[in-house]
Amino acid sequence: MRLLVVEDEKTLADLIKEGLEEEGFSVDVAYDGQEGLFMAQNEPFDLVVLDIMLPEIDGMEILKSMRNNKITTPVLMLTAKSDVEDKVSALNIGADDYLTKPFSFEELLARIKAVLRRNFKEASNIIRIADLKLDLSTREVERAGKKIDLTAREYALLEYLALNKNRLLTRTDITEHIYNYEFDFDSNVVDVTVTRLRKKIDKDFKKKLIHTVRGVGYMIKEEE
Amino acid sequence: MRSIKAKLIVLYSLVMIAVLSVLSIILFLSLRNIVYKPIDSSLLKRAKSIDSMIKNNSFRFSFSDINGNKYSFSFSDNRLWVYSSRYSKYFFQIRSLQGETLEKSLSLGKMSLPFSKNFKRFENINFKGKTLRLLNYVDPYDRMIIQIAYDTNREAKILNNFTLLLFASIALIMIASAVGGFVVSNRALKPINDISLKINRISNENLNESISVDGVPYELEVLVSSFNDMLKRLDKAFKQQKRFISDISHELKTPLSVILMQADMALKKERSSDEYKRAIESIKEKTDMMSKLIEKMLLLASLESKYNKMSFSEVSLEDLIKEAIALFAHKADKRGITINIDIKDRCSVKADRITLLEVFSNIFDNAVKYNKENGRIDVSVKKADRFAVVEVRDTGIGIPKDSLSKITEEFFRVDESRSKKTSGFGLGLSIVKRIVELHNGKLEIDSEEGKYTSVKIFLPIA
Ligand SMILES: Nc1ncnc2c1ncn2[C@@H]1O[C@H](COP(=O)(O)OP(=O)(O)OP(=O)(O)O)[C@@H](O)[C@H]1O
Ligand SMILES: [Mg+2]
Repeated sequence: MRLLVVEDEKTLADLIKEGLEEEGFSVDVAYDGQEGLFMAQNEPFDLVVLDIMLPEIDGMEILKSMRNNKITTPVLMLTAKSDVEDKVSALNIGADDYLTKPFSFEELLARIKAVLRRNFKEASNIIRIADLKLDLSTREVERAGKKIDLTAREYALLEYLALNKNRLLTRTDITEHIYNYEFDFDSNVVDVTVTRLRKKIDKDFKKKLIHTVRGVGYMIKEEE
Repeated sequence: MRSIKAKLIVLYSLVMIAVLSVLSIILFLSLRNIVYKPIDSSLLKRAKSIDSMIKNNSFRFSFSDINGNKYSFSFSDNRLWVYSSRYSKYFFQIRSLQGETLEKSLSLGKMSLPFSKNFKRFENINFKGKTLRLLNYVDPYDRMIIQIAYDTNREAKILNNFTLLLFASIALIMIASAVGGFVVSNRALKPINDISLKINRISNENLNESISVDGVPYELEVLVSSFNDMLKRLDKAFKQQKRFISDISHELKTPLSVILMQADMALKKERSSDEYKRAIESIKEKTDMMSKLIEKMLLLASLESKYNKMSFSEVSLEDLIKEAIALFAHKADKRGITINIDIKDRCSVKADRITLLEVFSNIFDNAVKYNKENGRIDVSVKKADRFAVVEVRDTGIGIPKDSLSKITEEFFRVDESRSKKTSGFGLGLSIVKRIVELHNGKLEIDSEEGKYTSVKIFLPIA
């Protein structure tokens, strides 16, 4: 899952990035509105965390331009004001949720997950594909009742595949949503990660879930 | 009486009453004149005719006057028959100049016409329930008074009816005018009601709206426009207040969220002791910054009601400035900045020493912070008129022209992203301005971007 954090308080932005990366997200940061708007319009993010009070262009403006340009990426607004007005107008111009500063990391994480789930139209935190079970909130993975340990990257990949189950995802799709822009796109990291993931998920089972579409990409599905 | 409406109605009615009374008095008098004039002339004619009859001795009765002349009367004279019946409307009585009755008409019967020493020529009298018009005709040659009276019952009735009619119509006109006055004043006051309705619709939510002058009479436009001016001022103050509070909330919550996030991250999972150390250091740094911010905000807030608590004494500006510079010598040194002091005139001012020191610390703080490496700060003190002028001039980054006017606003910083590099809250110069104003002085800031900034403080000399 690839997120953009637009926040002018550098320390806070970096801390959020650090925390979310520990949770398996890939995170890009913009420290002002101009950069934030540019990135939101040019990169396929799964969610934008957007501060309202920003230098250059404020958060409301960014959200407005995004929505005007038909960019439907879900947006979680942050603000230091407790004005109800702000909240109402943010939601009116198309924010998906709203968080007032100061907030704890858990709060932020819960909101992000809730917005993502809503956006992928998952009713619950648990995704089941055959006997594979994925808990989005605890990030626990089981196959046939047996717990499987995954690295953050592996989990991120599996989650992205699972949220898009039965849909073919290209390597570019995957790199863009699993890695941030610092990632070197030429390497075959995706293939390596998929191979490692296969070893943990599919190897011991007759029914394979992760499928390769030669020369294009990967998908997760139940039937052969 | 505080009601405009009541005042208008009373005033209006008083004028109406005055006009109507004068009018009705004139009407009444002229009608009376019309009614009595023919009566009076006929009475006079009758008196003269009786007088001439007496002179011609055509009366059957006779009497002698004081001089012994004999007179006689005769009622058979057909000129006298109108006085002969009890039902007659005419009466006469002849008296001597002293008032004793010489003769009277039959129509009087046993009665007498009234007489008093100071009689008038024409009188209205009450006689046996009748109203009579009486003429006292004096014949100076024959030394007698001929009283002729006429029963004016019919005429009096006409006059009475007329008076009644007059009163009735006055009353009617008064009622009509009171109602009219009420309607008129209601009409006149309606625009005021309309305006107050519009005013009532204004709350602190829509202070920025103004009251439209559409349909407001010309006379009330002034009221509306001065009310609108007041609204504008209120709106500005209100917005300022609101912005100040939202700024405070932003300035406090941002570092607070960093602290909270930092602690959350540290506690999220097992970390190395190095990581814990860095987290705690960062938290401490933010906490220090927050406490400085809170101190500055409290100082700014306390200045609102500071005046009574300040203790003024004579303060030497030279000493105070040197004291302030000492506080920043170390910081300036670190950036290679030199500070020059030029005391042109020795000045003392009446000031609250501690508070005034705050002014110079803030200015020197800026002069060091916004200076270039190895820059200069020139401080001069001189006299101009009744003022001591302190100028602090630095060779720093300067302030853009369009920001100069906003520089003393709370939380204003020239460039948010640039000023992230230099720490600050944008409160320093707001504090300086308030304190200088508390000392009846003024603040002047001049600057050229990239070249210099000059801050001048004018304080009245002690
Ligand atoms: N000597 C100066 N040279 C250049 N810019 C200045 C100077 N003094 C003030 N400024 C500008 O004016 C702004 C407001 O100054 P002010 O002293 O009120 O706040 P601050 O220095 O940012 O914060 P603090 O509240 O810590 O003083 C500054 O942010 C800076 O941009
Ligand atoms: Mg300052």
